[in-house]
Amino acid sequence: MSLWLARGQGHLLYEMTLLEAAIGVPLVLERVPEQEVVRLGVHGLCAGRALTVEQDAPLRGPRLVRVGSRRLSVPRSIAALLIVRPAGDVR
Amino acid sequence: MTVLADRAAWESTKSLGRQAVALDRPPVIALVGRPNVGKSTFFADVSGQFAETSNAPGTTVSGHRREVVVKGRRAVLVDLPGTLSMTDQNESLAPFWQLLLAAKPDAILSVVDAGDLARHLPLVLACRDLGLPLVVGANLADEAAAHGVELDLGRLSQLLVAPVVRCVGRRGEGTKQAVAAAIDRATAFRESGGTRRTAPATPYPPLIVARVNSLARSFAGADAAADTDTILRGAVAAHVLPPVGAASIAASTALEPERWDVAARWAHQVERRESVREPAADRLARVVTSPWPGLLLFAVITVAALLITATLGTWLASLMAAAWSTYVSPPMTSIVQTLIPVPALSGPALWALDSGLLAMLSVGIPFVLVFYVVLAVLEDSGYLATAAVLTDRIFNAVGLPGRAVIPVFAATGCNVPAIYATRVFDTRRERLLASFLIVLTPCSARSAVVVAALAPFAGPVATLAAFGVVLGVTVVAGTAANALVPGRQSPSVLELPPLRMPICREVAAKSWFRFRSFVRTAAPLMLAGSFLLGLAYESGAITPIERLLSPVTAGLLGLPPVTGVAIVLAFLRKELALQLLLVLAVGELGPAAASLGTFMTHGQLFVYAVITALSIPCIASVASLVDEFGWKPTLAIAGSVLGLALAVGTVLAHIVG
Repeated sequence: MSLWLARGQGHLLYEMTLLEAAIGVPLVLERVPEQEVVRLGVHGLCAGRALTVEQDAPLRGPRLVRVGSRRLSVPRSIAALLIVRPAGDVR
Repeated sequence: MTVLADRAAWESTKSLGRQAVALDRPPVIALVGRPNVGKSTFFADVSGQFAETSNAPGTTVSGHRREVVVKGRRAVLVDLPGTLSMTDQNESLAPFWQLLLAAKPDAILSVVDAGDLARHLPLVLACRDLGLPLVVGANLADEAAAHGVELDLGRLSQLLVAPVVRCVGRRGEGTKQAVAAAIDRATAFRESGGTRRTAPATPYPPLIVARVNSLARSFAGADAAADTDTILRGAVAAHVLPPVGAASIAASTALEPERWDVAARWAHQVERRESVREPAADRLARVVTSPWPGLLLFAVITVAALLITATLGTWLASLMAAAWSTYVSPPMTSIVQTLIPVPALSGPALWALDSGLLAMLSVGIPFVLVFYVVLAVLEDSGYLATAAVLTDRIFNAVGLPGRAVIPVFAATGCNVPAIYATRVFDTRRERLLASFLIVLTPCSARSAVVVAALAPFAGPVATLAAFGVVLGVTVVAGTAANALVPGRQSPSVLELPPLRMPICREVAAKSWFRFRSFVRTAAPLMLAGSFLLGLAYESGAITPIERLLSPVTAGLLGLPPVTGVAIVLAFLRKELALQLLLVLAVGELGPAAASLGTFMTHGQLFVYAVITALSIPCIASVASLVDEFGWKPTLAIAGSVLGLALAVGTVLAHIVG
């Protein structure tokens, strides 16, 4: 069952971070913290962008994320800040 | 559609054009693009000369300039470092737009990845917003086709109001056409007096455009002093940049998200994507970054790289040393002794010219050049970025991101270029921590001393144990430094380049470029160091130094007193730590001391090897540290390393000495 069940006027029951997302599931980047918009934006990590977690690096290392045709190595501390939703779910 | 400039903002571009025409110089074309997009390949193909740029702004601070002739027309091509945005910068260096303005471009050639337009277009838009003539090179078109991506270049050209040329830089396709188009645009811009028939239309929301126009008016007017950036004001006043361009930089925080929106829309309009089988390189990329077999492959590749360097390097070194001793050394000795009849001077001169040059040939060419070839192969294949991902957690323990693997790996060849390579880090703290690790990493010269001191006498196990001790000390010291140096690691996203088959021409060019730069930095210092060594030896200054150091070498470390001088003077030339020791030992103890095993026990050799591998950095590394950080941090690093070497040596002396 999707975690993205709407409640009332579109409030969400649960917000999933990129750190929690399962490997191989197509995702949409919902929200980037205000202070990280420019720093992450230059890598294509902008709200609305489609992405997929492909792998986790060894020893609980960074998450390897495919954005478009490129792969990004996203440190876990940054992945924990990015709110995503499964691509099929609608708010 | 809203217009991102008004008449006032564009007025000063007239004077810019007039000034440029008056100068009558070849137009300057700046190559701009994200890291790994192939700018340097472009540059090498058009100029016929390789120039190295880094994957981050700052490594090439002012860019490489070359005069080129394309289709009979001259231009100056400037290869700038890869950048993610116009305002991209690290802590210690200027933002990218300042590097761009320093090049004083008449036109910008923006190189993009044809298969990843949505990510590359924001930088193109930022270039276009500067108000300078623009040409786009849609590079890596072959890889895009392999991913089923084709671009409607005509439509993209319409949207950008700029020519777009399809390129495959690695095969030299389209590169000269793109540069020729940029020369055309720059020339036309000049001939029109620096004005355009219409200002470029922008696709940004009206509110943002109004803000940029207001800023542009401020830059164009006399009231600019109040709230605008000083450097941008200067650039506008010097006619390097139109006011609207300065405004687009000043408003980059607001513009950047809009550029990404526009880029996504335009990429969708011009890309035709077909479903194709996933390229083998993509599948391989996932395999090499997976815990299994990625980590095993990493270990195999690292060991193979070091073994190739050691084996090929040793073979080349023995060939060169033999050739030098047979054909060069005897005539050089007689020439120097004839030209300088005073032994007190001819001796040091021979130390510099004979043994100094021999040291360059027996370490510089064989080990460093071979290592640079191996490094270039790993780099061009895209594997080093993979290694950065695999080792990320390990380097996190010492306060560094995984990409520290690149300079640290380079340090096993020579510390000097590795110290300069730390410029890729975002903060000064990371650069200092990485430099500390680099200085502790044995370079090829120090590794050669460890192997030569231990392998023939104490055996391969003792040799490996010495390297193990150095590695352990490096990890512990790195962890301690991370805890002691104020601040914390700033995590950053790393883009992984696709895996590619390295091209021989580029590997050869890159290795040669780096090697030449190593020789230029290290050779004068090695020759001067050899001269000073010779002077100390010939003048008899060695004995007082030996006496002075005796409480430490004999008392603390349990080594023969003669080793103290060799360790200290190895500061001038690390690889001489062993040769010098033998020369001094023979001088003091007689011909029987020509073999280390005759006057040192296995335990003493072990202590001596570890101390030589760890102790203070060589003179060339110190010069690089001073150049990068200044005297205070250099002394702190050198002092810490020396203290560490003495502490480890003392402990080892008690255990095995």
